[in-house]
Amino acid sequence: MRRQIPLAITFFTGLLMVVQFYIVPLSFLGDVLASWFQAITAFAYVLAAISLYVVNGKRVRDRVSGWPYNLVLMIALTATLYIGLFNEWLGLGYPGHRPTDSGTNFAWMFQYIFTPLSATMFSLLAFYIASACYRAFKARSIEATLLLSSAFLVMLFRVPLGEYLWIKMGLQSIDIVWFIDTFIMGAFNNAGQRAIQVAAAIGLISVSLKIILGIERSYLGGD
Amino acid sequence: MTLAQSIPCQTIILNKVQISAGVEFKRVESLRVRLLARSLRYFKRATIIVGLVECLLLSPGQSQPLHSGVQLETGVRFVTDGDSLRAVSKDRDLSDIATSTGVTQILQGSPEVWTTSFLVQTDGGLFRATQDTDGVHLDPLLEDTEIKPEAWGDAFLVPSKDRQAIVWISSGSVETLPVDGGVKTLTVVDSNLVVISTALGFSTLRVNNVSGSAPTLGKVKLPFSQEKAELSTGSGRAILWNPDSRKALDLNTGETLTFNQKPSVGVKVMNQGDILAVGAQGMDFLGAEGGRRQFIRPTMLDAASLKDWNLFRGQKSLQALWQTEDSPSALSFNFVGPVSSQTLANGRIHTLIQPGPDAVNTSPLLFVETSLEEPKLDEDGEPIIDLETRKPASLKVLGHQIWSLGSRNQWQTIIDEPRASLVGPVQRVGSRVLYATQTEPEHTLGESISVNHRYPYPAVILQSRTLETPTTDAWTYEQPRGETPSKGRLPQSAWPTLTEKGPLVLTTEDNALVAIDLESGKAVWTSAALPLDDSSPEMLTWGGELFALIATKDSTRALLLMDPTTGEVQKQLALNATFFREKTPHLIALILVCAALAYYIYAAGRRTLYIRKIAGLNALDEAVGRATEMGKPVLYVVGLADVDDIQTLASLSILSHVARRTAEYDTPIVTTTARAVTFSAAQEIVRDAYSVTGRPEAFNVESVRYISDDQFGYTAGVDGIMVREEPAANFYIGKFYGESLILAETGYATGSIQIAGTSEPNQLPFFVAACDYTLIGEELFAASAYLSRDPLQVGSLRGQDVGKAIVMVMLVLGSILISLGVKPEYFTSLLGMTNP
Repeated sequence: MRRQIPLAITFFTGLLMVVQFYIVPLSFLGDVLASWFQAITAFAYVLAAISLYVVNGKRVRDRVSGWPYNLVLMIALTATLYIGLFNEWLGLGYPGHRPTDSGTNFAWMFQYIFTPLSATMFSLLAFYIASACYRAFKARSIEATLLLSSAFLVMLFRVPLGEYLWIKMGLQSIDIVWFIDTFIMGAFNNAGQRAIQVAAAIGLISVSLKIILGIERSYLGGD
Repeated sequence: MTLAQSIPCQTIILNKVQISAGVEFKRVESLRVRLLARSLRYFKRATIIVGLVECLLLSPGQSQPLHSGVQLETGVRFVTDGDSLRAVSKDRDLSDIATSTGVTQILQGSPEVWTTSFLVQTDGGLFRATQDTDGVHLDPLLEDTEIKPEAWGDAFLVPSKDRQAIVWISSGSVETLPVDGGVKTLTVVDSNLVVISTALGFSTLRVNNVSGSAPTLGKVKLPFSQEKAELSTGSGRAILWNPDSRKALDLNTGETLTFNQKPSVGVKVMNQGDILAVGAQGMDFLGAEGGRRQFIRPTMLDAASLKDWNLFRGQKSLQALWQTEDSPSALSFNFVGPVSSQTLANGRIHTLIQPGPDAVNTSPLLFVETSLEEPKLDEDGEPIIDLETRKPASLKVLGHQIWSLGSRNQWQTIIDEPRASLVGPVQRVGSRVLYATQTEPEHTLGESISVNHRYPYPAVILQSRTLETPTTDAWTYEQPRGETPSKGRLPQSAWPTLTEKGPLVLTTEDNALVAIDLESGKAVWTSAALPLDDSSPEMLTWGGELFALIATKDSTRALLLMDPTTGEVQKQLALNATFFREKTPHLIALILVCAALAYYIYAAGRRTLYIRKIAGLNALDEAVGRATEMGKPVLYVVGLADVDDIQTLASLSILSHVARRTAEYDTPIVTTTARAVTFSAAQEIVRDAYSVTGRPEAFNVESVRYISDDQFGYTAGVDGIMVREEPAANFYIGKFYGESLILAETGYATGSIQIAGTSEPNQLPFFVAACDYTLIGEELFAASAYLSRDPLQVGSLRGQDVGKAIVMVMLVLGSILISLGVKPEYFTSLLGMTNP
């Protein structure tokens, strides 16, 4: 029964979602089920928060290597939760405002702590792209050389400097930007991406069908 | 070396495991941990139950408008649901009219002339629908146009698709009249005259005296510069004028008019055809029946700041109502004898109700919307601080005033309700004015606001007054409270009545209809609950005997035929289109692919199918083995998406395999998740993997970790695990965005073997560059079948390949056909679709 009931629910729900996509009178079901999912998610977050406390708390208790990071996480989590939930009770917020309103302590934390930290993480990407390019773009074979040269062209001529240099070289009669847009990006790159997308879409249908029919059940674990 | 670093990795990750003689692992689980795990399981079950209960309480709520139909002399009424055309016969039977294109709107023609045909706007252009003995036929008039025709007398006018001509469509014929300079705008003045603005000037379209023939197009010769020329219309008159010229052209008579000053503010045609030209110094009044008058004072307002102005002839005076951008006050000018002005109210002019032409001893009523600033208070009565200005915030309370034009030509306030805002239309129905209000409750400093959570919005109160005695002869009707607020159900433009004398029909908050007598304000009848959702009813009369109501609820859109005297529903006709026709290609493609999949799944049990090698999947076991040899953990990153994304489900399938291997090899696994539901699913999968391998006690709750919902918070958390715990093998499988390269490069820096898999085309290059193996697109979805070698699943892989072959054939075939000039519309019409 532990297997059969989830599989029956999956079959029924999956079929319903397919049917509602095509049948007008049932089309509202998509939104209904999406709102159900949101409701379940809200409760699942309690479990997730407990897990965070359990995992990090144990690491702090056992003084595992790097435990101060776990402590920082727990303090940040508790402080955010505390201020978010008890903003007004503590007299920290402003009367009549929700914690997420602009100007509150909660919003201040979001704006001046969370956003810069996120931006810092994201900015790492620039350096990682450079290091990944350095490793990937090596002329080891004909294919790799083609990749290197096309990447060079795209990177150079996607910035104004490339165009400037091209004109300075006296080659303005050849529209290199048009060539890159039309052939490299528009033809080769686009064709490759679409091939992946089409194949992935069919794979997606396949997995969905297998899940609906109960053939694929490893996501439930146990099998 | 610290103590923590010297302990074998397993004891760090699996805190409950103790090494015994270097060979056997013995579980020493404390009572505390057992209790915690049990409580978590109970909590999870409770969560699911509570979640399902909450789900059942949520309900859908949206609607789409339907359009009123047209009735032909045969008695058949045609309606549309915005897609298909339906006919309702005299016997109240509903039938579908087969159309090759979606019918979005029915255009109402003059019933006297359009007896057997009507116009319909469709996705494919403008069509004429004709009913004869063989049925209903749709003939194209203007294809591929979305321009709506204007009704003009018995005919319709519509600019051609290139706007270089005007098309005149009567019940019997269609004429195309080329217009020099193209059609910019088209203004219907009255049933005889249409003014067309072109790039070269103005043209007129006049009715041809020969009955039934096309109208005559003529070019207008202006007595002033064409630059800045403007058109003013009203009461069947059309005046062309220029703010820099004293001359104007009367298009009805062809006469040139001369003003005493330049009409820099504008020219208005008033309610009885009088013309008022307003300049910087005053006004010129030109009576419709002749005669003129000039008002030097007051100094008129600037045209740029003028927001709204309304001119009309009262019983004994000429009245002007003004509203400017910079002043919230409404001004009135009274033009009789000496000109006088009066500030009417600190508010916006809402509606002016004028008495009918035959009304005696009645005064116009002016509805003005007022507003007042009130301190904003919280639940405890404390003033709320505006966080920008750091001052107490205020609440804008809308109200209304009603002004009446008295016998001395002075406006007087007869009603002043500063807290009752006008909602819905303000409209004259017969001798009465109908309007609705909502009253904002009083907020007093220091007093708590009483919040009614069931009815957070004030009740809608319908009000009615007579024009003769507005203060005494009045009634109010308060809508009974129900499930949903009635404000959203009020009509937008006009109060729906069954006949000119009523009753008025409204939707109640409990999805019923209530008929209200216009004279007494009493409810005549209330219907049973109907499938109305948040709609307002629309009346369609049938010879005065019955009326129909178009209800608008997206799931049960219906045409209701009711008895007007009792409100009893006599017949209910479903109007829904049952199938999204524009999704036909999706369905065909889905059926083809699913059929291929189903066939090969079925065939898989009977013969062995070859599967090509997928290096990334072969390397899964190799990576886990490497981690085992090194005595380091395995890191499995599920991705950012929730379990409603199929990539996450595919990832969870692979996790099941990887977790089983780690359980077999007794290698610690760390699974990181960014979504709460994914966390719960992943935890169950890893736990089950340990159970299946016969080592349930080896499962550690720390092996599945929820990190953060935030993209970069999650990335930082996973990066931290990589750096601190140094896993020997990293798996990034699922849906990834910009964090893909940050994760993969960090993993590269820590020297892990890395296997990635995603179907996000933009992230694949990053993974290919930074990881040892990458599952590209479909390979991710093939993983489960590949790893399990289950014949049924392997069959689905072959089905996938056949699906790809079908798509490839269709792509090549489509490219060839398009290159040969076959239009996509051919296929869409072949499939009976509305939209390609």
